[in-house]
Amino acid sequence: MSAAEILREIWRCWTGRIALILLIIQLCLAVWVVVSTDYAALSRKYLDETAWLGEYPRAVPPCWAVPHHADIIQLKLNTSTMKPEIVEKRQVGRYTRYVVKWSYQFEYKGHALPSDTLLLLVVKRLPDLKAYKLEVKLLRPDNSTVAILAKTPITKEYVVVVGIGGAKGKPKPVALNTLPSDDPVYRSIVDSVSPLIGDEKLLTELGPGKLLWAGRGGKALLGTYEISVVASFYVKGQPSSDTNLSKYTSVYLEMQTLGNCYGLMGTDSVGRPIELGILIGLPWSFVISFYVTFLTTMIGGFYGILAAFASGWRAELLMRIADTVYSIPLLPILIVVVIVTRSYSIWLILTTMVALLWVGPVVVVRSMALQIKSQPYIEAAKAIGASNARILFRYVLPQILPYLVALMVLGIPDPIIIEAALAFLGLSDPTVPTWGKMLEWAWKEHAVLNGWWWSFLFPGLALTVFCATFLMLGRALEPIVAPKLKSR
Amino acid sequence: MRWIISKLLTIPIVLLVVILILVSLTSSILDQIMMKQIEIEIRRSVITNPQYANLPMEQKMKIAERMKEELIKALGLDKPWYVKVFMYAYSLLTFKPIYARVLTTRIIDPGSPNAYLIVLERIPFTVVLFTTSAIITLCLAIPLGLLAARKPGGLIDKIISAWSIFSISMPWWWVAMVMIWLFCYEWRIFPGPEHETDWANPISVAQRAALPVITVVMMSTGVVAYRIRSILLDILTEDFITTARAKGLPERMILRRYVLRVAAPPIVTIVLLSIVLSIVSGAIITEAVFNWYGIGLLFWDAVVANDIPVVLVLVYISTLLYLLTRFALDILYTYLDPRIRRA
Amino acid sequence: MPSTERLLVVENLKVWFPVRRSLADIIRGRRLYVRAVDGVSFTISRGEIFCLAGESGCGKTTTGKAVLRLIDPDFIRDGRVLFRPSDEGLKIVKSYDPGAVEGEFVNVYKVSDKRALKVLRKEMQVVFQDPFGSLNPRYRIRQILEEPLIIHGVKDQGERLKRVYEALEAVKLVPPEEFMNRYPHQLSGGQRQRVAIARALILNPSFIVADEPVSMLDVSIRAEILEILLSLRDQYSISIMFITHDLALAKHICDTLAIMYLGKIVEIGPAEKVIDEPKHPYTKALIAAIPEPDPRNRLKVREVPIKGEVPSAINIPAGCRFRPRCVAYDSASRDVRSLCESREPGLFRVGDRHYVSCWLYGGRSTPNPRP
Ligand SMILES: Nc1ncnc2c1ncn2[C@@H]1O[C@H](COP(=O)(O)OP(=O)(O)OP(=O)(O)O)[C@@H](O)[C@H]1O
Ligand code: SF4
Ligand SMILES: [Mg+2]
Repeated sequence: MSAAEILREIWRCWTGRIALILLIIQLCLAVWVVVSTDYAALSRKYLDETAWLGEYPRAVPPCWAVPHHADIIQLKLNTSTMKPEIVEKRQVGRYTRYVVKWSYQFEYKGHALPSDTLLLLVVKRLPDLKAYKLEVKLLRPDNSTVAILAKTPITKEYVVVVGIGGAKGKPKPVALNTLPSDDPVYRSIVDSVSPLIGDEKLLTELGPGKLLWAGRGGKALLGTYEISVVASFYVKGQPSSDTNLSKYTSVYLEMQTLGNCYGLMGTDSVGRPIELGILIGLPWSFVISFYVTFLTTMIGGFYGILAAFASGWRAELLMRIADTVYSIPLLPILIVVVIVTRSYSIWLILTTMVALLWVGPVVVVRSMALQIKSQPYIEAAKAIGASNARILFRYVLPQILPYLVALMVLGIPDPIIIEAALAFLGLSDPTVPTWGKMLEWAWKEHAVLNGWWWSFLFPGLALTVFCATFLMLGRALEPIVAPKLKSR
Repeated sequence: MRWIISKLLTIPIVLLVVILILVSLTSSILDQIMMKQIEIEIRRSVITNPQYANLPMEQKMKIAERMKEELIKALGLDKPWYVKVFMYAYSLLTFKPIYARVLTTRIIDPGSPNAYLIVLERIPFTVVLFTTSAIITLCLAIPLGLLAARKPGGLIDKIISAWSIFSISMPWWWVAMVMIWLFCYEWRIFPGPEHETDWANPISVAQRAALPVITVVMMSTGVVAYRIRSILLDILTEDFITTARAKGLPERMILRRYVLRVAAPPIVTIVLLSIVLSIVSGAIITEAVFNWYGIGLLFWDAVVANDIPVVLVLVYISTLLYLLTRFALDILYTYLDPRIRRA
Repeated sequence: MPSTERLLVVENLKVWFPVRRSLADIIRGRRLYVRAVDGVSFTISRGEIFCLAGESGCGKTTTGKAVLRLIDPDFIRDGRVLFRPSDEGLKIVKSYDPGAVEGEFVNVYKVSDKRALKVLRKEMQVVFQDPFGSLNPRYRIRQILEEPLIIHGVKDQGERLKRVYEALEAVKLVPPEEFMNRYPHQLSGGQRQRVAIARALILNPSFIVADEPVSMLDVSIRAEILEILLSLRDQYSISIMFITHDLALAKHICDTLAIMYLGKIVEIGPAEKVIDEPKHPYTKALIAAIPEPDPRNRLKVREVPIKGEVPSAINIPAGCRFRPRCVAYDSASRDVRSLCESREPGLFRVGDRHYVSCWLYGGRSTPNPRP
């Protein structure tokens, strides 16, 4: 039977059709991911928990599962380009005291709280200013004021007040909810919101990143907000009519709300999009499953045929060996191999799997080969002088090969599921992004307890769909390629 | 008979092979463990021994050094690796005590670091969980398999086929996560895995067992029912059934009198085998998700704590259990199936 | 017609298959065998049609295969098979495997060199009973017929094609091009058997074993197939070892007929002689069991002079192996009976080239195995 005929046969039953369609989709996706992105760099980044700070909201559900979406506010304020409001300008001794305020108004329209707020606050000042203090406030629609930064003295010329990264490199905004609870910014926000919210539990539950936008009962406050930066300082000399204050100081403020949902499948607890992880894991699923099943069916198939053609004690020995390997339990040995060699290399794991799984097809293939061997046309081939090798490769193998393919397809789920189990135990290759590893992350971050269902549901579903595709395909294939074997 | 003997002979061979693999993999780690035990021993008998209390430190060190060398010799740690491999294999085979690094027992002799005890006290929990599930599975799967086999290609057949495909495609421990999320936190029907359970109290254990049992049953019933269906269909196409049909026997009688009798041994074996297999497959990790105090959780605990002595003993004991139960199954199968006994 | 030149000599051939033993047997150190062929001797001349007949399971196929060295040499318990190849064949065997050459003959089971074995494979061929199983279902007819040529080093494609044509024409599958590209399942049983014969023929053998070549075919096409086989002997003077359990057919086509019972030849001789004047009690029983050709006598219940069942080839009775079923034994004299019980009868001469293995005929002359 030709390959085209087999495909047509598979297409005829509905499970086969679904399986073929799913297979093609997954293959295309896998190829697309590898070809269209810098796959190596992307997977390295995906495996690095720290690389995702502030890029996406953390631990948010998919957008279709959220009834109200938070508003995405993105502010970048640079005071040197803004017109200041001079609140106070008076002479005190040999100095002039300035209180300057820059403010900006914006609307918050989303009916839900954002998952967090990113903040970056960088201050530059001249060294000869005296008693420089900075304050950042948020005036909210209900006329309450939240002090993001209480009056804080700034002594250095350049300070990243809120944010990550200092003197060297570009500073990055920090997510307010990741601040420690004794951080002044954290305290200041929580303290100023607490009389409004009242509920102590809600305060810690929401955290400063949400509280900024929260009103009574933890609901989102809609309407006009005004953020203002107030700097106060003394300048040597008389008050002048010069309004260009940016020569004394400039403040850079970046504020961004992170949405309460992301994409199709949400994000995990460090802000990695789940859908990206599933895409990145797909090519590896193909590699893992095909590497193992291809080798096991080839080795096992060949061994089975050999055992069928051997005679006497050799056949007995071959079957004994297969029997012994068959009885070695896989998972415990894998665990020991990985732990003990301290090599978490995926190839070691896969090769160990092959070393123990190859016996799978031996018994079936041997009985098939025995059956074929007893066919009169094999005897006839011997009678015309065909060598053993010729009989093996030209007569027996072509009969068994299609069945081996079916066995291979049916065996695809095993290595994936085993690898996932190892990953769950924390014994997987740290350089290989697999779905099992995503599940491990979810479990370690208590996703189940926290109700972050998307972070374990989707990777698991991806695994299920992948395996089910091949099982359906195999079940459709089996009756087509398998000659009727009488058991015993 | 010949068959049983040859099966019986495989057990020690496989065990030996597994032990040799284990030991040769772990021999350097075992060396370290032994050295640590020696050091503890020396500290106890020399450094902190009141008898030597007023000796100067230098002298004490000398005594300690000498003792260490003696102990190394006595324990055979100075031998070449291939000798040590057999030495360690022998001590595993004779169940010489091995001490855990981190973990301790909780029920039998609480606080003991004996790795064998640590493993042993967990076995009953695994056995209870999986045998209960197996019995329920069997009760559900047999009628389902019969129904499916009666009308191949019918609705029930299709459902069971799909069900089995999905059961094989899903890691059980992942299903456990989903179940916990739904039943413990979303709907709050069962106590969550973080609940304190008195593992010596059967009632609280039973409460905790409900969700794991449901999960395991859910995952195994489809597969077992599908296997039963295939076995039944195979038998239904055999000649003696056709003869019985030709004789005009009612279908129900054929099923009960002919088919089930022939199908019983493989069915029983398959169900039991699937339980035994779950001990050494990923299914066991389900326990870790449910925080169920069995072998699967111990795999997780030991790996997370990097407690290699426990891992070693655990692998050894679970292999032993697996081999013995498989052997018992083989015998049971022979006993049940008259066709094999005659051969 | 057969010449007097001997082509195949089988001497005291024994083929024993070991039986898987129970534990008790292993402990007792007992080895058991299926004695499928248990001391068989005969010769076949060039151009002769030699028939081997007997009940199912008596070892006919095993004998045929043993002659062709299709049986694993481990199972050959005793005896020799000598085959006389063509002159060039003999030369090749001599050059690669001089130890296997005995005069003009090659000792089939002494051949160990692959190239020497190939000579035998080329000159001795086989046609099997089952036309459905003996053709590889995945090969087209042309591939099936080319296979022997490829194996025996016919490198030229055109030459191969020509010979495939000729072979197909010889078995009357005409026009050949219509059949060449078909698969076996696209042919009828009779056509398949012709392909099997063509495959046997294509290497120009001098000896063919035909193992019940027509028993699985419709009666209507048997005659054609037989005709083709017989014409081979007439055209190429090929010797045929014809295995059958149909004695009427045997009488029709054979020169020599051998009757086998439980691994041994019990009667051998010219076909008409054996059938018209059977001597051995077993032969008599077999002949009595032939359906009556005359329709008027069809309904008459005839008594078949035999009793009991075929014993297993593992436990062959001591003395004469036919004794438990022999009706002549019951009425024989005391002397003969004691011989029947204690000793295996040899082959006793009862006429021209006619020998019987029965003590009833062995009283006077000494045992005289056929040369
Ligand atoms: N490879 C083998 N291993 C063991 N026993 C065998 C083998 N081949 C044949 N036998 C046994 O040897 C005996 C003779 O078999 P054989 O096929 O030669 O009989 P036959 O006369 O050709 O029968 P039939 O007329 O049914 O074809 C039988 O009892 C058979 O079971
Ligand atoms: S030897 Fe005796 S038993 Fe055997 S066939 Fe002749 S008469 Fe019968
Ligand atoms: Mg035969």
